Amino acid sequence: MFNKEALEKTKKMLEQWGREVEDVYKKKLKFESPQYTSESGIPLKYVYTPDDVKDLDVELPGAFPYTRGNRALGYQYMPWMIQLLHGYGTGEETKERTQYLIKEGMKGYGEQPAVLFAVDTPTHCGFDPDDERSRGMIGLGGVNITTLEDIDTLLKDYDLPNTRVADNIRFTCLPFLAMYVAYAEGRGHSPGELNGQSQNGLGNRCLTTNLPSPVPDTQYKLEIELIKYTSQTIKRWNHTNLCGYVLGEMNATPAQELGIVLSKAIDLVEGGIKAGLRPDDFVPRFSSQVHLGMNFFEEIAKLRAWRRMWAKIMKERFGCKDPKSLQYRIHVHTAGSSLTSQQPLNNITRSTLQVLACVLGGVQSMHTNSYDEAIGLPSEEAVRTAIRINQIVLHETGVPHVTDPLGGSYYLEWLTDKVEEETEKVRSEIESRGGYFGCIKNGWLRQLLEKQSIKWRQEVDSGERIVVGLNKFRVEEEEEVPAFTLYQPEIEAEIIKRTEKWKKNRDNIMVKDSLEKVKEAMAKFDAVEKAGILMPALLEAARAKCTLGEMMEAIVEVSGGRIYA
Amino acid sequence: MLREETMKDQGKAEGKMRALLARFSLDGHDRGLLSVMSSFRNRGIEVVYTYFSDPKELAKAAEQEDVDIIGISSSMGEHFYIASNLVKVLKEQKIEIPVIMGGVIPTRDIPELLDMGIKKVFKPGSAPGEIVDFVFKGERVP
Repeated sequence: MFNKEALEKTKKMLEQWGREVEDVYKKKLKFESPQYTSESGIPLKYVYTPDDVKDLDVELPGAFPYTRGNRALGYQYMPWMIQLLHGYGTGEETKERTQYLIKEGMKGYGEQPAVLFAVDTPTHCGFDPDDERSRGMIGLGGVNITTLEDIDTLLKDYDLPNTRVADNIRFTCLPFLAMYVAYAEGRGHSPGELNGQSQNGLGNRCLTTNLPSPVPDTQYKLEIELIKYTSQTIKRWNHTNLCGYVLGEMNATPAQELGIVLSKAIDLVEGGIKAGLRPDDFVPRFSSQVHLGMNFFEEIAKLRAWRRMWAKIMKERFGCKDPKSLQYRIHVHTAGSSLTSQQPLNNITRSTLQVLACVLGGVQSMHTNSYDEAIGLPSEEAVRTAIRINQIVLHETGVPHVTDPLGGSYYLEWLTDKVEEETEKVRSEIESRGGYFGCIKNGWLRQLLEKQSIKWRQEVDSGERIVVGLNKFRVEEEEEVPAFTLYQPEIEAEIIKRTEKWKKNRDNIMVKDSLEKVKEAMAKFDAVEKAGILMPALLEAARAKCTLGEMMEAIVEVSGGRIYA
Repeated sequence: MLREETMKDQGKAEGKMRALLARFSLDGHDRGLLSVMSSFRNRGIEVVYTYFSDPKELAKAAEQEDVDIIGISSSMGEHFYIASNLVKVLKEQKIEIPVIMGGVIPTRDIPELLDMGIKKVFKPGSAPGEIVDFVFKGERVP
């Protein structure tokens, strides 16, 4: 990148600079210079020069390995999607919030509406509302989805082929997808017309949100089953959200987050191949949810390294040829864990810096946290402010006018390489320990994440890590932010009533038969090679009006039950 | 339901405090609990960590494990449900173990939780050290 002369000059100037630091700061001013490290433990210098990037290749956006962006044009052609995960209570309440968000500026690519909804934990795990295990939790943290009627409440006003339906479901992705397809069929659409995404991250969610989940072998099989079904039937469906977010929320470092996600992707691509798919047939439909924390430049470097490493792995390891397989599309979720309940308005500043980092890193889509999320469900004012952050960066700052504006920065290019190196260490260690699903099974990943969360807390307690308002710059009297809450017992009673009514008014012999068929299929599904065997049975069950919980129960009953991380 | 690692130490060590830290099975937010647990252990408090879906199970575990305090983490808005049911069960069974709570609990809900009989509610961002201090202050029921 630089000629010999320039490098010589750099060397001389650096020597001069080093002498000044030594003589003036250290000797004369007795300055004890700090040693900074990035979150991933990369030791940082105080200044970077051409010498640090002398091997840098010339690269442009839209060309392999896509460090600078997937396409020739970035935000000039298309701004990032402003998508906000939301949902609570009944479908009616969630829909009201969806409409509010759309009115304020939430949208998918183009003008297509996006319905990105969170579900409550009974729905995540597959416990029906009338199941004792759901008591006290129905409608909390998301909408309850149990029956086709619940899906109808949420989606009846949307033209399904032109709506991006994205659920944030943890373990019941496959039964939910079967229900969504059955629901769409009922409205006269074939599965091929649909578009949206599944989370399909059972393993990931088991690791991070420690809820009762199917055993690792079942997690893996269900994920491959979903990939196989959608890549053959719903071509526009993003089958798997490679979610690093939840890892970051447990304080995985940027390199750990990326390393773990890449390990997972490798296991899934290998599984897809075993199930008879060609990588190019399903790799383009991986989606993502990247964690975006406070370490500004390292996070930008992570986004760039992410695209580059993905492109290399898919090309070199799996022989992908379709450029879409090599272009990693990034959706970011700003770090909930960076927010404080103390002086909550400070969280607007945090989210703003994170949104800026995302835009500098060239992401395709973003969920921005509301400032009151450390206190409770976000209020309308708070979610509107979160949307406004995006609109301010988009329309007022000029930042999106130039693609990869930090490309070529000595520091950022160096840091991108270092994050890649650190990530590769994590990735190869996971591979040597049995791969991603292997490391869920043997507990290694859970232990790593538990250690990371405890470490963060200890650093905060000791003051080694400063979090403004939390362990420094505290105020005596905290301002009260009105928390948005809902009266849960009433909602729970209503939802149980609906479920009981649904179960009464259907052909329960058909229900029983179809659930038996789900069990038979699952029992035969003893290896990922057999993927494709389960979804037909689930579709039949969904058409027969089985509930989400009944289908999930049938699956786990014959495949090892449920575990905690 | 008890985590295996915590099941190993059956008898309580002489003079040692023992705490039951718990959360709802369906509220997976356990990052705070992990920190509190580590902080308790570092200060010499034995910890039993459990998940539960029925407050009766929890009361039973607290009695069997002979704990001095019950700490509940709630981050999804289920705090009233847990508190009211747990306090009721403890009263019915005449189990006199103080209960403290933490997690994501709106400040305006705290007085009602205290009225129900919860000893103390720690707001988000409370340092685990504060919680340990509170436990040591001897808020134990004799």
